[in-house]
Amino acid sequence: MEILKTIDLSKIYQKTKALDGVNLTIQKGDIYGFIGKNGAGKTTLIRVIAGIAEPTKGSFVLFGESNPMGIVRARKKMAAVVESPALHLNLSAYENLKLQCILLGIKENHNLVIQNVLKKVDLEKLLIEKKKKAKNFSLGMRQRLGIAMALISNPSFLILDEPNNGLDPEGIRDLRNLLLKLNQEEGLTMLISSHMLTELSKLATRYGFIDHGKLLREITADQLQKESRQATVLSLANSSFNLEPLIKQGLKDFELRGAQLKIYGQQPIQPYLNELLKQNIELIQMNKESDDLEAFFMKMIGGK
Amino acid sequence: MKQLFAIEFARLRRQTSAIVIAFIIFLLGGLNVLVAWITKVEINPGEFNFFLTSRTILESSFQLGQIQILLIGVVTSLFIATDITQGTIRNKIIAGYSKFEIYLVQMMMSVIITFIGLILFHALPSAFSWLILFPITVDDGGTFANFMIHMSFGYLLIITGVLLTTWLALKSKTTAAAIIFTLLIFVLGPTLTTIIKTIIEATVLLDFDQFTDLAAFEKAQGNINAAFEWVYFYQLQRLANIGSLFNFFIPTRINFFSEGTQSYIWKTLGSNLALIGLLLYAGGRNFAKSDLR
Repeated sequence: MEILKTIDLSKIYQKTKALDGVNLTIQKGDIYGFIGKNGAGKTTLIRVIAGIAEPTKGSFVLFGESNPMGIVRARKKMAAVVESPALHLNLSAYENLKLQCILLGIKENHNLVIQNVLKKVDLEKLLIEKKKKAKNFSLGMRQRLGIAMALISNPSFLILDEPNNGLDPEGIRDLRNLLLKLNQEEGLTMLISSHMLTELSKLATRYGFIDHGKLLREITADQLQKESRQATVLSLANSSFNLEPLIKQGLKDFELRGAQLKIYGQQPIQPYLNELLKQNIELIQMNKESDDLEAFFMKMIGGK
Repeated sequence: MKQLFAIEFARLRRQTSAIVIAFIIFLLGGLNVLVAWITKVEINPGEFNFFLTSRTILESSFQLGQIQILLIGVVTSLFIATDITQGTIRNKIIAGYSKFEIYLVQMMMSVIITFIGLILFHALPSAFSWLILFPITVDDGGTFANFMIHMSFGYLLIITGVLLTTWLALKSKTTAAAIIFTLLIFVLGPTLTTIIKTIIEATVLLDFDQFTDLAAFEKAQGNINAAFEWVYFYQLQRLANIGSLFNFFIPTRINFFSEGTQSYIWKTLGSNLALIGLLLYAGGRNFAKSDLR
């Protein structure tokens, strides 16, 4: 089932094409990693889907609804944290969540709902510091509170724009575990835009690459794995060796970083090892590696 | 929509600045009793007396009217603009409310805040009138009904102004800009309109000599003033002077249904309702199609 499908979606700001005919599809259960440089159009697309910005051209289907009023209704099934979390800064975390309960028309006991959601995002301590205002929170706490506000309605589709902003390594790990749990146990579909590609690669089941407002490609995590370039990585004792003889032996498509030689593709390794031995260069370790998401992304946008 | 109102009221209750300003408005109202207390009335030519009636209390409340309106304008601007600048209005859109719906609720909240402000402003003088001078009477020939009609026209005017500031607050990128727009509308607006009117008046009246052709002079002056009757800002200035316009000794001046004041009624009603309609419909459509921060 398609949760979101954009059809030639475009957004033009004066003369800048922030989105240029984007056709993107998110299936139920996907954790969709949305990748692009700064200003590529990630946040603009999220703003359009969330209803904060209006598209200039094109349309989108959300939970099967494509007409404007239907989309407004469909948004009741989604939640989003766009750019920075939208908090009432002069109110406490508890009051912010209480207002969100009122806004969403939650009928269950608000105190209970708030307790549960704060527990989910590991912000239980705010139940004790009931009077601490959101303006005095750290960036990380604000981010967590924003996510708690998004989760309070038990959405079917969650949009997170740079969710790791301001989080410490522990917070990043906790958030990852929480999102994976929500996806696996509750089938929550997600669209996550992030610059932290290594982190995103631990979560996403599908990816969309965007550059200059154009969606370059959509790919599943499995496909990405298959298409990633394989490499043999030789970790050597030192970097003072001559590469010329290796190249004469046929070495091509390689990368040298200090004492680490990365040889791409299915090249015969033994002749190079022999040549290195001749130069008295000791091999410390040899292992196989495939391109990470970052390398794939760089290849995608032409290494710019 | 019920939830939207509920969240707005919850937000209003927690807005410290609104509570502080509401208290100031309440105290300003109390000041009116003091002002009325020292009203000096000429009983006979050259013979003055100081006395207090319900009329003097209510009349005096208009002397501080403009400050009261300005404060209400500041409260509504702050209330609306913080929702925009903190980005919390986004929560409402994401929660599945249409922008038009959100716009209407914001507009209605401004009207409600205005009424709360007006009630607070009149609370002390009214309570004082009822408790000390019960029942409220309008002496010297005027009727209480006419007085109330006059006041309701003033309130319609305030609502129009407040809706205008709400619309501007929704379009503002910062809270400071929203406050500046409010000041422009409630302070600079009437001042600029008066200046423009005076320039036009002076230019036209230069062609008449009031000593030789008083009738033509007065006619030209009347035409200029009539042209400005429907101008929103001019009406606001007039509202501040309602107390002085209110003359119980000449009952026809306060009778809105007399022939001489018909045009004033329709122009006031027409211009205000047109502006309110425009703000609700065109403003709402424009807001629905615009991007938020």
